[in-house]
Amino acid sequence: MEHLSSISAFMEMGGYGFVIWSSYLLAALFVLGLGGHSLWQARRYRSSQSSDRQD
Amino acid sequence: MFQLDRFANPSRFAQLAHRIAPLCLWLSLGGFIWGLYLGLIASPADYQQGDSVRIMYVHVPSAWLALSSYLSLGLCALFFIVWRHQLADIAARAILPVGAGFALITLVTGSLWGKPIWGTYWVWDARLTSMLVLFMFFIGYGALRYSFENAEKGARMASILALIGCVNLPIVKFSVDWWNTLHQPASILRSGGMAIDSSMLWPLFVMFGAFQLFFIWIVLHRMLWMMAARRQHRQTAAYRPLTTATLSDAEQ
Repeated sequence: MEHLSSISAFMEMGGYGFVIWSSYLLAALFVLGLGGHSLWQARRYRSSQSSDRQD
Repeated sequence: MFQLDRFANPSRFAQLAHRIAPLCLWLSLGGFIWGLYLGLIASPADYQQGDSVRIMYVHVPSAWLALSSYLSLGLCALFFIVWRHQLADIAARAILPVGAGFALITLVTGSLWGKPIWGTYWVWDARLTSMLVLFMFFIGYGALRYSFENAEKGARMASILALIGCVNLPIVKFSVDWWNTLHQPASILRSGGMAIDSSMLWPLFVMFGAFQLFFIWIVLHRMLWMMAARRQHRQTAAYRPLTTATLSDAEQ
């Protein structure tokens, strides 16, 4: 872990900070975005189904 | 085939999916946390590439997932064309944005990795080009699927395209062996054993496991609400007429 001993070293990652963090950020945005969208859609249909039953 | 027929029953499938999906989600979240720790903190930097090698822990699992997603899409297309099973069509539609997303992540992270290592974001080499073609097949499937007034016809046409696109899968995999490419040759699935140290192999496998579990969760989850949307449409169709375009909109 000595190569990542400080926060600044962690952010810079030996000068490759930008490319590394952008790659991880992109993957995180995709996973969270698609996961969130799917959960929202499921909730939408669940609530509309329950309101249909009440009608 | 007996097993497939068993789970092709929508209610039995929904029962099983409701049980498996949450397990996959939690295991995937755990896997991501563990994988991020291993990939960003515990694993060493490469002696040639330095810390930029850490992009591999996102790039390679995404590439594997893009390929396996397309293979799954092709299988669903085959089941839909041969047996006309609606569950196969729903599965294909659930896989589509996930696979396309992973293919896009592969292309973008590969590009970002290429700049510090190759000195360029993009070259028209066989691996990169065949991966771009794979992404285009995903887009083509989606475009064809929703471009017909008759949803059934759109599904059939898109399934044929998906099957044609399967030809590209071995090209992506073996492009680095068949042609001279700037992209490095295979390091894991190759004759002669793995050419990667275990300190980098473990984070790679953990991240792949997390991505794979996320894939299973998202596809099952999407399939469940698409089935709910289909049921809802059938119920409302009794009261008001809907065009196929409206049905497609509702299922998006």
